[in-house]
Amino acid sequence: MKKIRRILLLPTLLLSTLAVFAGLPVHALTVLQLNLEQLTVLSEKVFVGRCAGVEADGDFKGHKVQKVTFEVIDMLKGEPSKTVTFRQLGTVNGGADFGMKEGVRIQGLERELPRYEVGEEAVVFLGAPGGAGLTAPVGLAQGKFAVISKGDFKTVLNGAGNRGLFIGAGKNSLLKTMSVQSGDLPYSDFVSLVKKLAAQ
Amino acid sequence: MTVQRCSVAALVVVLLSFSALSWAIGPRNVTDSGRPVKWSSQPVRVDLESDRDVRGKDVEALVNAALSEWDDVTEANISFDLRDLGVAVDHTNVCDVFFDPSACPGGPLTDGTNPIVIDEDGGIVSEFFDESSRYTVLGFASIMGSDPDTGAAIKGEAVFNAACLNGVEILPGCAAAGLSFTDDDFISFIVHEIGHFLGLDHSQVNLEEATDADSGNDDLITTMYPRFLVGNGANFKTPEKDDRAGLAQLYPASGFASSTWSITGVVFNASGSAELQCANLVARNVDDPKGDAISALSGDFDVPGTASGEFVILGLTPGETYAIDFEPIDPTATGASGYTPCRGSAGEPSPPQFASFTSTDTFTESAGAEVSVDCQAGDDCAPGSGGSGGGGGSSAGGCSLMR
Repeated sequence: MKKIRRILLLPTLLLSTLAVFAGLPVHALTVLQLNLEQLTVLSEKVFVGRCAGVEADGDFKGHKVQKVTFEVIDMLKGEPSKTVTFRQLGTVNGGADFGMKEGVRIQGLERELPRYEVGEEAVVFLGAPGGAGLTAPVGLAQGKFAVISKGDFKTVLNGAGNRGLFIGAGKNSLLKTMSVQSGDLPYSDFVSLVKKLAAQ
Repeated sequence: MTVQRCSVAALVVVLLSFSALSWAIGPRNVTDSGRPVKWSSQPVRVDLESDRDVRGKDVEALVNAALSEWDDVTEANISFDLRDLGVAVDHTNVCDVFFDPSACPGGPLTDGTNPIVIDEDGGIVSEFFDESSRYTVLGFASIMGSDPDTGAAIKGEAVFNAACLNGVEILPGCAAAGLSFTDDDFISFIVHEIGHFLGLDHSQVNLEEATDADSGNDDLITTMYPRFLVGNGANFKTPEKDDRAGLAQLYPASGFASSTWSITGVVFNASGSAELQCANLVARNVDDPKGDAISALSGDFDVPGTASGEFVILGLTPGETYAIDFEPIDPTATGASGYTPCRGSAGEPSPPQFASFTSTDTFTESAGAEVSVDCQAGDDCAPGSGGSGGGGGSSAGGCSLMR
């Protein structure tokens, strides 16, 4: 280990970062870890698409809402369509959800909702909208898989690092065909498997 | 390993003003001055909503069982004053008892109640998230309001989703999708969320067992692990040693410090040029590496993005020998599933990634001792210059600015 004079370094860094960050508290939530079969069953639509638009779309009882549009490349479950547009609650509002009120340090609920960028390709497991017309990927971050291109080879990875996708495989023999614990999955194998699960 | 330390009085003052220790598991929240956000007196008041009936099943006993799991931790001094909230709560009136800056901005913040609500049909979850989360978000809890200076909790809240409680599922879809959970499952995620309600952060001790496909080793998953596996409730509900040490960190029982020993130190980055925040250190008993394992996250009492590598691993058993696993936080554990202060959201950086290793040295001490160990990413953990212990890897003399 190299020598270090921490007495000179630490105060400088502390003082400089204190000006930027405040301790940001957070709610904690328990989300069920879903396997691929559960993600598929719970979804109204599953599609491969390219994000064509993300825009603010008013609010719902104080929550910011965003409208997200995908151009569909391949519909894996649900009625075929060229585009899918859905309304989802906005992601964390770091400015509004934390702060002070009546001398009390307050914090808000962090919802772990997926974020979208125009142009990105993703596999989305979309839940059915509720009465207010809002929906989101099933299992929150678990239900959106980024499509990652490495030359001619594509892989998919969800917001949970693909963890748990094949746990409980004993309940469905199809899940046994892919037996990885986590990490990137081959796109073509993944899409093929989801289509089979959707057809069951 | 040579880490030079020197004491300069003026700098001590600066550091004591802006920094603090980091301990096992770590707190979910800290104040800007590094004080953990926690309840300042015992017993902790909780107000269970009046409607404890979930489609004919009385869940009060399940809530009591969950509270008892923390109450029974002998290393900590925690107890609950369970009261009746006096009102049945559902999605139509949740904001009469809850405060949330966006969902319930007009809700009570300083009324003295700490409501626990059973979300019988997932309606509150649906209201706070969306319909697609009705059956998959199992609960949420937090200390919602605290004193900005002392960190003393002022308002706590918790919601537990009973929509898919086994035997009284609200719709056949719960079972069809494999979402039904047992009483033990229900108790277990109440225990986990109450852990957050008490101020605890997540723990990834035994991450391999938590993420593999082998259900036979799921008894090794810590209660404060951030993801829940249906069917593991009987194991998950009982706090592991790391969970217990984390609770004792915030609410130590008398005699905890004197009957155990600790490892304190600093983590540096691979070049040694700066301290490294958010490295996970796990002290593992060489004779029981999975069962007797206690963790600490470096710099977790400092503001996000700080070059602070301080850590303390508490609650080690006297006479037992421990090696230290040095590892990154799971990069997929972000946001609400993440580890403060590196959750990769809301202004916090993502957890740094580096190669894991196990220390070459092992460490052992007697009760009440403190061993100093410094670690460097990509290198090793070795005896440091601080600490009060006399053997087992610690070295006498030197000076530490932080302790």
